[in-house]
Amino acid sequence: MRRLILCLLLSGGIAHFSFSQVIKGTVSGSAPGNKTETLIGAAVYWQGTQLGTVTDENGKYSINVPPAATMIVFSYVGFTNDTIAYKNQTEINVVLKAFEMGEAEVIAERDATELSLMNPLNTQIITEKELAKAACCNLSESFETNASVDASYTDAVTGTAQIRMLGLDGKYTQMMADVVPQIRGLAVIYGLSAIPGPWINSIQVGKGVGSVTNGFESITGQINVSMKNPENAESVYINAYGNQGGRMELNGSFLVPVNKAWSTLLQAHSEMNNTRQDMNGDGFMDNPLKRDLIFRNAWKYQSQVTGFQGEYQVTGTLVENTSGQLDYRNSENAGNANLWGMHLTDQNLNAYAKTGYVFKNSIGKSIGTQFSANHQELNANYGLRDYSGLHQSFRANLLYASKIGATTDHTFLTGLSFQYDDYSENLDSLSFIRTERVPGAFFEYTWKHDERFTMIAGIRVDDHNLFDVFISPRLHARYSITENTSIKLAAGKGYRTSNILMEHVGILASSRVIDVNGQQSGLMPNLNPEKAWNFGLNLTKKFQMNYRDASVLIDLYRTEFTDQVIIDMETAGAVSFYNLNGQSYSNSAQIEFNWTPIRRVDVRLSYRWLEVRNQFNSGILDKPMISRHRVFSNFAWESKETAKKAKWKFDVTPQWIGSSRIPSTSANPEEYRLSNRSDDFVLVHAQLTRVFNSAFEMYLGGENLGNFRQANPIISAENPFNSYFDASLVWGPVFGRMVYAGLRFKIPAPVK
Amino acid sequence: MTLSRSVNAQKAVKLDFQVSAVCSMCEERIEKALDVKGIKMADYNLENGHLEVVYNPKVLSEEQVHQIVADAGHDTEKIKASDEVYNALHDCCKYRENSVKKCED
Repeated sequence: MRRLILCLLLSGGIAHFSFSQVIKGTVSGSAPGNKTETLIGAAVYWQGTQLGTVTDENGKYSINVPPAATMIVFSYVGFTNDTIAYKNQTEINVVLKAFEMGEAEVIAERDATELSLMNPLNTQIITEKELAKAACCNLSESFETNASVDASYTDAVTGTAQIRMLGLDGKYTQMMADVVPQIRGLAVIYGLSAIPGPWINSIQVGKGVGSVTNGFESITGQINVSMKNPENAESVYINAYGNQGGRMELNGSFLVPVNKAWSTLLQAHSEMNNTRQDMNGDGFMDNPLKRDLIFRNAWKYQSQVTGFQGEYQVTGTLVENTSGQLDYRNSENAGNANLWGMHLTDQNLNAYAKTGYVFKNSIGKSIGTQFSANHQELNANYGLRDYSGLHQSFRANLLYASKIGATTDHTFLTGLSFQYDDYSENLDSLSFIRTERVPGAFFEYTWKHDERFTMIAGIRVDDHNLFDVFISPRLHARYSITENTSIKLAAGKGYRTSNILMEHVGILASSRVIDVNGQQSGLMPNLNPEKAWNFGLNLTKKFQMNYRDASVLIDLYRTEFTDQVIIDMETAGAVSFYNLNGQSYSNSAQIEFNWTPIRRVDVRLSYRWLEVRNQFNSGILDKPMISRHRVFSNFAWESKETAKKAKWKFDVTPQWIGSSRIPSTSANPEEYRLSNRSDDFVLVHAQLTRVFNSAFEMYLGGENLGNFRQANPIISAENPFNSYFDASLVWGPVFGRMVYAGLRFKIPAPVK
Repeated sequence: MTLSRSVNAQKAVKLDFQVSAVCSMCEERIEKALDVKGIKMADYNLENGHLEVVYNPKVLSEEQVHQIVADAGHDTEKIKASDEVYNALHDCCKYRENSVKKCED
């Protein structure tokens, strides 16, 4: 994914012909907060030809005009290409815009969700425009208008959101922020809500195993969150949000130019909910009381002179959540059996440094380093259960990119990595302690045969100190059948080690007795690392319908586990974790249709089928709470922009979620039993935005407008300290209709 | 260079003509100008200078389509943009000049 060489660059041997006409000019580059500087060694060439030149030490070039000249392309590593039509000009001066290191595209005015016919990886880009449709609030809630990622809740008490891809939990999807792996370890669930939505520039949702360059941990997909960074952030961005449930948020982001090469972005987020509310009358708060503070400081260094560029950031997070019975107060009720409550504090400090060097005299060659470190401390109580967790991690990744031969048809990216994770968790008398040290090496080869065919073949080898050697081969190929139809294939292997408590934190909101391989106290045994193969096939076709753009996508994926940690809730009152003994798989098929039937109206329709089954001790069963069918639609309308850049935007997202299997509660007394299957239900979200001008907009929206609620989401809510209490069997919304409103104020970054 | 086709029982006419423009900013301007009643689709191709327009002849005439483009500042095969509108264009869009400066948005 992280590519330092992206642009098509010309190699040395450029053909010399004699042409009468010559174009001259200067190529310079600009990054927000930096002065425009001339670019040395920028490529200038005629589109579709090998005819070109590079700029000299003053950024100047002179290029001959071939007979059939039409378009001239300007490109430089780290900047967006500019293509200009040739209309007999004799001088063309361009200013290229910088883009984020390691990312192939700049997100400007573009479609809300982009499908690429050219990228061999099956990736959808969710842009800021699409993110604005789901106005609330953080990463866990950013996928509301995406048909490929499912969002659900872990339990009916803590208000914690989680995501799924291909029917499998979010833990099997590798999460990255700015292509650095994040939201892993103990943070797989809580970490999603620690990335505020207004700080996100775009999200790339990749289905399937993904690239080997970022580790072995991706199985069902790779989601990269491109954060707003000094080169793409606004000078000032302020967002305020409030909802009916009493949740209030304030986000601020400020760009500070330092000097020519350095710029920095300061961001702060605060969230607060002090309102105790119980709309479904079960005696439990519908939404947790919340206080959190997040600070982020990102730095960017870019020098045209030395060829170095760097991105550095540090993020600090403090979260405090309280939920449970309506009158629960942690200071009074913690540790006693009067009122059931949950209280959690999460402290996290995270930093990364990415530095790249582009060899100036050897086009297509670069070196990059990534270092990241994370410290997370969790302290919580769930009823009478007492939990503490500490995770410290460090990761280093060294990458080298170059080309094979004279052209950029064959390129490779190779490197070495080291991952260190130290886990220590205690839940009452259970403890989980593990230190992982994993050196690894990877090689990824990209072959761009022509416009029609591209292939990426990668392999990585990681030597795990606790387990065996992980070998992860991965292959991606794209073939364009026609200009507008492409087919993509993916196959590969991924691995991960599990932290069962924080990955299934919902079970802590129950009286279920936990056992791991039959053991119920003391130092818990390490379960096998999870290993899976993933195979995918994608067909994307773009076409015109009634003169307007339309596209159809068909996705077929299969994930097959050879090792997995099974979470077994088939016996009421107990939850067992054990190594898979038998088969476990997920089959997924999705068809999506996008069309613009009328100008400024976008329609998306999608149907997804899932079959997720695995071997439990009691037999092969569907994975619980995962519905086989989902129909999704999104309708978006925008008014015409006035001269003052004012407009209206409206979008509505109706979806239908089919019924799913609920783990058996037949061993419970009758009053504490649930049916074996959930109801199917409809969810409708809608939002209206008024853009007053380029600086100010306001929005009003509603989630779950049909006011559908799962009936009795908590078993034994009236007596939460008995052995039947269970809030973890959640398959639908616990909260009813939720109305919210907010505003956004932004001052764009200065152009130069 | 015109041909007509029947779409949804309602006669839509497709036009394809040459329009002068130099950059993506121009392209956006032309396509936005054509976001009016009666126009189904407008797509400008910067590479060859062709503008494709599908319109409803009951609402607009071919002449009017050209006029909309010219009013936005771009010369078409039939109608030349007035100097006043042309001069108001961003420097990078001055397609009549030989040397176009800094084509940035």
